[in-house]
Amino acid sequence: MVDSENFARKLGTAMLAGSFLGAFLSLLAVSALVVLGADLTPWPLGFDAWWQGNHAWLRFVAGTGILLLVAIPILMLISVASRALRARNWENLMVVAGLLTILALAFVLARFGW
Amino acid sequence: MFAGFDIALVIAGGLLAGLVGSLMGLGGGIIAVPFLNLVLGIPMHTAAAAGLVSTLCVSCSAAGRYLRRGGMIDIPLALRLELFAAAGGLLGGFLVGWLSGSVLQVLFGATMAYAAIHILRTAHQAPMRQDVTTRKSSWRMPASYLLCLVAGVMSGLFGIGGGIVMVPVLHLFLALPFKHATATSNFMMGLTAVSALCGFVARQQLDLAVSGPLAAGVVVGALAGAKLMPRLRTPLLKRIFGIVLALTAFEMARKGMTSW
Repeated sequence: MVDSENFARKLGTAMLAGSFLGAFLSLLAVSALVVLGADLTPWPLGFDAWWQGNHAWLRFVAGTGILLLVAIPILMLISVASRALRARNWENLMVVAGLLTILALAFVLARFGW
Repeated sequence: MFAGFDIALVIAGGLLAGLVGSLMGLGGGIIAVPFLNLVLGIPMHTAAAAGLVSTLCVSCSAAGRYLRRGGMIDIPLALRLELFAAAGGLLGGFLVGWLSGSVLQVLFGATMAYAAIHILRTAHQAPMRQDVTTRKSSWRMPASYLLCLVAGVMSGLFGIGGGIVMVPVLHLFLALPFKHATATSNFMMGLTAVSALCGFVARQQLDLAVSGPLAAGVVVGALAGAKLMPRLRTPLLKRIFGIVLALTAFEMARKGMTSW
């Protein structure tokens, strides 16, 4: 599927950079909130306005960091799917579509109830 | 209130999980979850959700490094197996909502005990090499799919990566060289973690104050582990880690049983 080493290298760089960015964005925002004396318990990530509360911007950044981490494997799948589509590799495209369907199902179940 | 000291402890736990996880070829969740639950007293479900975030970090950073190196990850095979692991993760992530914290502690203790036995048994074994044609055997692929489903359910239930099941499947059943099996398993773990996390988000158990600092610690720890790996005596480390894991498994199960 990923026949080009160049593509794999680019994908690897994006995943590595994304994981660092997501993790440290979240850490910096949480640390800033602690320094500012914000109450952080409980602070769950949900589908409603999880960033609401005091220092909403910092809360938004912290949540965005975690969401970025979640988005990395999904974006990786989409890029592999687009490559399979260009190569007309239907079998591999079907596998990726199946995976994206499972992830979409997980999201829908989480959003609208199990 | 979550204080600076707590944040520092969570980062330290993440560093430990990332460091030991990358030295042992694990996702890090198997260290992060008991650390958060037993040391910091964070509820089991919240600890499991944070464990999944740490798995996601290890997967993205490790798979990123392996992809950059080239030729280490069998992507088509990983995606086929991941269909089952992701389905298992989805199932586990939702099933865990029906289990109490103490039941989860006992089950997690049993999983840790299995991981400890696996690590102690393989501490002095050279990675096996098998004929690649065995990959085409009729029963190996269906059995691998089933085991990946099991690994996914375990990942969703306990917040671990499932590498303790996936690496042996890839190496022993599908004849990938050991390092390639570890790299491919790392690539798969992230997708399983995403499908499993949805259930935790639905139940509002993914705590941002815990997950963010843990993720940062894990990323740095995993990087340090990868740098240290060539200089350390891995068999001795594996034996020490196996014993520590077995003791932690006992404590986890004991705590779960006393509060049953």
